[in-house]
Amino acid sequence: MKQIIKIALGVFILASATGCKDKDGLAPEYMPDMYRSPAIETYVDYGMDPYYVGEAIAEQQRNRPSARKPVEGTIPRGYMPYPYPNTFEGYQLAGEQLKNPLPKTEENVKKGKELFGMFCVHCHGKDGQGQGSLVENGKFPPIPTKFNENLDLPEGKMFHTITYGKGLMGSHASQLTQEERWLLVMYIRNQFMKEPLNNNVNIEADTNAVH
Amino acid sequence: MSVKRLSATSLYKALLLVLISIFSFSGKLNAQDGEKLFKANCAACHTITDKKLVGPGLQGINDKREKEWLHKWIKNSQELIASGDADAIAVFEENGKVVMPPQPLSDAEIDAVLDYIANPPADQAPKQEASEEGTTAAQPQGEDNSFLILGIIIVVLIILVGLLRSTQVSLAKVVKEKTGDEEIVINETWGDSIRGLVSKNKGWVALFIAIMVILGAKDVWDALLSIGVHEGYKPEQPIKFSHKIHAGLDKIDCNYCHSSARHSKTSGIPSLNVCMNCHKFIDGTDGKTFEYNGKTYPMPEEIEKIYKHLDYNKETGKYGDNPTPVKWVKVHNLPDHAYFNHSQHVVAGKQKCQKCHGPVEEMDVVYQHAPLTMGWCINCHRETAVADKGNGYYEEFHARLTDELKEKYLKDGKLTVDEIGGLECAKCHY
Repeated sequence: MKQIIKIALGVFILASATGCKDKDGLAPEYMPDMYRSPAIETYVDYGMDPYYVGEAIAEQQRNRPSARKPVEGTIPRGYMPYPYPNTFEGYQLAGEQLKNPLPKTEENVKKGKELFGMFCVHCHGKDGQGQGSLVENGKFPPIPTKFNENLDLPEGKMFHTITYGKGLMGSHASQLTQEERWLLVMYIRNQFMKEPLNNNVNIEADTNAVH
Repeated sequence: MSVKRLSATSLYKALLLVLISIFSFSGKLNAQDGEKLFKANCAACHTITDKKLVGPGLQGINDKREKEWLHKWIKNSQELIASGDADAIAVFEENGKVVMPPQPLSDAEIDAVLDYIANPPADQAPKQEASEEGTTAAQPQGEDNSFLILGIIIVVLIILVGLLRSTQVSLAKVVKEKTGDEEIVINETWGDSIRGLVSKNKGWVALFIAIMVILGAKDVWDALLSIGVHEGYKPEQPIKFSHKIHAGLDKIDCNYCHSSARHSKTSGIPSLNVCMNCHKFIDGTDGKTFEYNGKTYPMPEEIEKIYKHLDYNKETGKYGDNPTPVKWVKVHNLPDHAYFNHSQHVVAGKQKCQKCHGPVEEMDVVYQHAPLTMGWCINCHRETAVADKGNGYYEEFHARLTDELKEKYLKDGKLTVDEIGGLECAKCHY
């Protein structure tokens, strides 16, 4: 009888001990050998097991950022460098020379609309008149550009602006691929600037500016 | 007749006079209109203080420049520069050759704007610090209090039991002395008392032990199941970034910052240049505060951290060459032996982020909402329909199915993930 009581008590204490989470809510782990990747994973602390290399070396390894810039002189697959510099002259040149290489179709406009809802709407507003949620909440000054039929703005300049930013608008090149930027330009021109869709586009004109 | 005509012309004259006065009156714009015009046309690049945005701050501009020059500059700055005006060229060079676009404003409107800059309404000049200062008062500390109360109750109960036992013992002694009854047992020690109690209530004690064992076993079972399951994991982050403010209040789409969720395996922690798309302007000055985890904090401190990591100088607007990464703490971790791809779920599967991450737009500090166990994955794959509408592949796929398979898979009108192989081991483990 006494033995049983002792065992029960022991089990109970063990259970309450293992059931505890630490202050952030991290659960206990048991032999997490296949949990941690030996190869470098994005945003994960990496480094060899402190059991083998010692805490000092492991700590040093953990403190190296796992998100890295591409090696200098390399470019991602399918990407073409953008030839126009971030200057007033570059802006003008892009306006004159750069043309949207994507076919102007309903499908592409639909894709552009989806992107507009993700990347533009909180400043430029649903209707492109600069009444986004950030402006209405008073966090950001009103957006001077109001997209409408009378706005004299070539598509190359719009692409240039999304790439480098202009005025208070920052560069969105890190968030949007070149193709996505063209989809956005297409949507804005079709929806707010009332430019008709036209499928007869000379595709070979500027294919190297895309992707 | 002539009298009539005279009166008619004088009537016309009077009417004309009234009209002219109305026009001249409406042509005169006041500082209030100036404020509206300024906000609509100028505020995106200029402030009325000396703070530089895109262009220079405009405080005291009326004293610095001639009115005529300002009019020319506002209407078409490039023309003024091209004409060889020394001041215009100097301003252009000083501000990094950023072109100020021509503003389609009339002379009266420009005057109104200049008037507004010279004499802004009184309520805009002082900063709104007083109203928000009192909110940093101490928060109630519920946890500590409840533990204290529990402790007091336990101590009181122990004292009570002790008192009752000693009364019982002394009463028993008195009764034994008076009656001389030998059968009365006196429990001299605590151990005697407990032993006496147990031997009298054996059935109850057995039941109590049985319940304890069962509860203990369940506890052990739960504890074993929770190994490596970090549901509710809520680490403190190096910057007090509130998703509630950014995604909830300001309605910024998840994809804006986590832009690689549509392209890659990871959803992506935004690099600091994405923060700067807004926080170059929103720098938290003017004594602004924000709510985080039920407490109020001053805003500049947190935004300063971004600047510090970027080695960004707020005054000059220039970036230094010694940026350091922010050590964000990753909240959602999958074991290495399980493969999960964000783009697959977000683009092809058309799943909302909240499906797995919970109501992030209501969280100040992000915590792990889902258990992220295999059972949880499988369950969702069994219940969720594939986004096959308007997808050419699945339309063809369905058309080619035999009647027997159509009956098997499409009878309920819903093609679930497990029906297209979403439970195959090698989909996630390889």
